[in-house]
Amino acid sequence: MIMMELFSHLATGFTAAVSPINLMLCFVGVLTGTLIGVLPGIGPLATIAMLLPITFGLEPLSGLIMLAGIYYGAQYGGSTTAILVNLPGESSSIVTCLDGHQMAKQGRAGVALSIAALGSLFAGIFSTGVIAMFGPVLANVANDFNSPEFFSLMLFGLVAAVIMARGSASKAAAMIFLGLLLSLVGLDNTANTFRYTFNLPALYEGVDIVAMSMGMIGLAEIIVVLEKKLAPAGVVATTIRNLWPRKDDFRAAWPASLRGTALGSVLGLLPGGGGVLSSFASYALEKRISKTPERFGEGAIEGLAGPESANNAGAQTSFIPMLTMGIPFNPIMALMMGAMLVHGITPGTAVMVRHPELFWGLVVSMLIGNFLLVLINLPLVGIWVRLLQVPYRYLFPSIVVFCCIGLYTVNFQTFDLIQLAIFTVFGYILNKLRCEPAPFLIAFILGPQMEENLRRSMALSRGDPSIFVTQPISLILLLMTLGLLILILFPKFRSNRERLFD
Amino acid sequence: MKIRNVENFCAGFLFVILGGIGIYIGRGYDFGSLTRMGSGFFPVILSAALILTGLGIAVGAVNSEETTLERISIRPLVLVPAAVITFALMIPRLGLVLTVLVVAAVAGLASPDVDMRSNALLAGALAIFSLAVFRLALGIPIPIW
Repeated sequence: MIMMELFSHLATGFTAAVSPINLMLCFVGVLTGTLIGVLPGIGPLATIAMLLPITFGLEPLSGLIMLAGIYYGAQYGGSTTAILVNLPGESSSIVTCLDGHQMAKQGRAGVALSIAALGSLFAGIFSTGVIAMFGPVLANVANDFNSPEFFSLMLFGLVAAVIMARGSASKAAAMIFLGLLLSLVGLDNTANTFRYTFNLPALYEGVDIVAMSMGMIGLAEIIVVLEKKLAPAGVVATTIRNLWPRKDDFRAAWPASLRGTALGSVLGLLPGGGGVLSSFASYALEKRISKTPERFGEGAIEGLAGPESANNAGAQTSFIPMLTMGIPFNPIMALMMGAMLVHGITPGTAVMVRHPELFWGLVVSMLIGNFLLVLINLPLVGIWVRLLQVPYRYLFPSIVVFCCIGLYTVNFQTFDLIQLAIFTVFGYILNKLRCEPAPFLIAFILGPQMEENLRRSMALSRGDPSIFVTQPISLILLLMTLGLLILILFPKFRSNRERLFD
Repeated sequence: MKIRNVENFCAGFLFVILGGIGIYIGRGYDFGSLTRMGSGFFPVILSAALILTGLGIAVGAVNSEETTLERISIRPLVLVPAAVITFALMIPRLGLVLTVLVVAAVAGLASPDVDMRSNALLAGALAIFSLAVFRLALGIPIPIW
């Protein structure tokens, strides 16, 4: 019975995902993602921030398919450069460098690339299944939520964002408050008053999310890269032969890939989870359970297969909390949610019921995208490597120009560009002060709903705050939040956390 | 008294200032009560939390590990936003082609290893590319001139 329902859902999704435009955008997304993953100095978060305007002109599903493709595509592209030139294109492939590049040095680059691609493919298929199975279950849980539960859930998400941010927890907390505060700019619907608009009509609808994220993440990152003077990538001359792994490679790789997939699928569901955390955790796991841990760092195939599967699985399952409950647990999901909100769709249970083709179409597109990625990546490896030699001084002016045009075409308002310039400077200053933009972004997205749910809860209880602890689900969520807070204050965990990020 | 962790001190100071602005403006909004929260309730609470956290960070910075501020490079910090502002000023009046030419050139100057000839070539290429893709292919209604 349940299986029948699942198949009918998947059929709905399939119909939506294989329309020519959606297939094309899925391809464009994974291609862009691969490109971004290959190029160092531009991460998936910045790219998605910069490409948001494009998706506004599309149907919501088409836009989501493309953005999602960029995200998991970047996980693939990043590993290619990690293996061939020891340069992690983005942070989730840092551990891929360790053993993957060693294999390349031993003349087994082709095998390393194949293992990475097949591991990712397997993880992609498996975690798509996880989304299809568990998405509806979680959505059902959230179905019974009222304002107090939603408020507590958001509080949990924000405290988790503090934990997962690098560096000082108090600075991350301050960034949360700042993000919430900034999200209040504009019209307060309930009281019908304007807040923090400085009498500027352009601010009546609030701070522009595209200008804000483009500036704080995209352009600010460009300034940071420019002052570091990128050294040109020294490409290890590799003619790639022997793509196909040997039998014993397979025998060593597949259990690691299986473990990585399982680990990544679980970690992706947790706050702060996603590709980066999953790949680090999987590497640590493989090294710990290996009978020959000394081989790690010398080209151990398990140290490649595990993390490569884990990061892809984690990247995909991190969609579940956002799509089913409307809680983005990492900044990339926050941006995706922002894109949905711009389209007037609030992610959550209602989406699954009212727009099933949105959820299931996205799920099926991920499956298609994962196959496309293997096709794009393995045969075209040579092109990706050559791309590395494009100097940054050609790349970044192009990015600046495309950002300006993209942002301008959303509203045709020059004030949006002024906001972009201001947030670029602001983002750069925060970067210099080592304040992470991730918690800020998550808070900015959740802010208006948090205020709304707090207001409703308090109206419901006639001003009695104990409503949050007398409702059982809300109480559980608050206890979990408390647990996280204790973890932050607990010194041993803190040092572990710092070690994880080093 | 010597401030050891300059970075955290500045961050804390910045948060206190921003929280101060939040409260200063926010006190004009109706605070309301717990039962009927006004427009000022959430902003004032958040600003207060921001100030307190900022104070904590700044005070903690006085006696902690010694750090210095990272060097700030003025050139990209000025030129990248300047390119964006240039775009804002030019696009409504001078159209796509001229704007992209100038904006790309201004942005290109931000690179430490800028070379005028390739910068000009890049600006030209980007102008043609933008015209072809955004105006002709995607049909975005921005005047060409």
